[in-house]
Amino acid sequence: MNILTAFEELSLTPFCSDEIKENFIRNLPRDISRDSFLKGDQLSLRASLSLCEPIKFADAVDVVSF
Amino acid sequence: MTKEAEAHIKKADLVLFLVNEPVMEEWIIVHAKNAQNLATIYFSQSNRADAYRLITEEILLVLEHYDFVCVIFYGHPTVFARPGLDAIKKAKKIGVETKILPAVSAEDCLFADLEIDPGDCGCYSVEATDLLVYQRLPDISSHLIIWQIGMLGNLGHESIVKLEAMELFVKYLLDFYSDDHLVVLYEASFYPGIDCSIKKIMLKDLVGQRISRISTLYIPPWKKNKANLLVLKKLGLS
Repeated sequence: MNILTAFEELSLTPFCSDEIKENFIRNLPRDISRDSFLKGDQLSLRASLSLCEPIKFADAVDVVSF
Repeated sequence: MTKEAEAHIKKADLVLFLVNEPVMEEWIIVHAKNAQNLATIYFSQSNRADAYRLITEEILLVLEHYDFVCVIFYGHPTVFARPGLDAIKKAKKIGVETKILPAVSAEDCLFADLEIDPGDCGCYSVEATDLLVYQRLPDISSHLIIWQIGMLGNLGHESIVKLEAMELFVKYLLDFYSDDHLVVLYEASFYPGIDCSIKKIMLKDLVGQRISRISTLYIPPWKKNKANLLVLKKLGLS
């Protein structure tokens, strides 16, 4: 499943399960952190926190499989 | 994204974009006939104002070569997105037909996530550095939304909140609010189904908090205004 398909599944599933969220996060591009601003730690941290709170940033990196 | 915006992106001869997450970037690249990322220009300048000026120039430049150009900014295209608005105004002056399609801003997300209705007692929305530099006067009986708290006193790109700036900022707000007034550091979610971030703290504890570039500070009304009886009478509402 590519990221756009995962995103569509996420978008079209109200109150979706953690499985769908996790699938989406795992499909995020590997180079997600390449820019400090637009694609920085906020995204991975934000997405990961909502799934696995409490979590440290180092763990968040693992979740999105850099 | 609305269906109308989607249609514009798919039909445009060229799509210029500045987005803050990778999925939308991927979506644009897949669906646009021809796409160009403005992030390269954005990050080429250490001062954000210079970057915005260059982006405006780039938009006007490509208009000379393409009939139908679509420009995408994350959030709402005229909310904290100066280059788009500047480009629209300049393009109109040279006779180019223009159209701005509204979208969901961080403030819209905040209203939903914090369950706030700006209509109940008014709402003042202001940029953090602007509030401090121009000593804007907040209405303590209204909702106060302070944008870009994580970029306070910072004209560049780096996400560094200067301690001195934040201390100055909090000191200013304490002229209006009590130090134990509960405020919210808010971050909208990038994606549906993923939670937003809501951190409630006392105003006095704002200094030293982890604040990101996408954080917005929400200060709830502190005191209620009393209705002016004379005005009510004149309006026939008493």
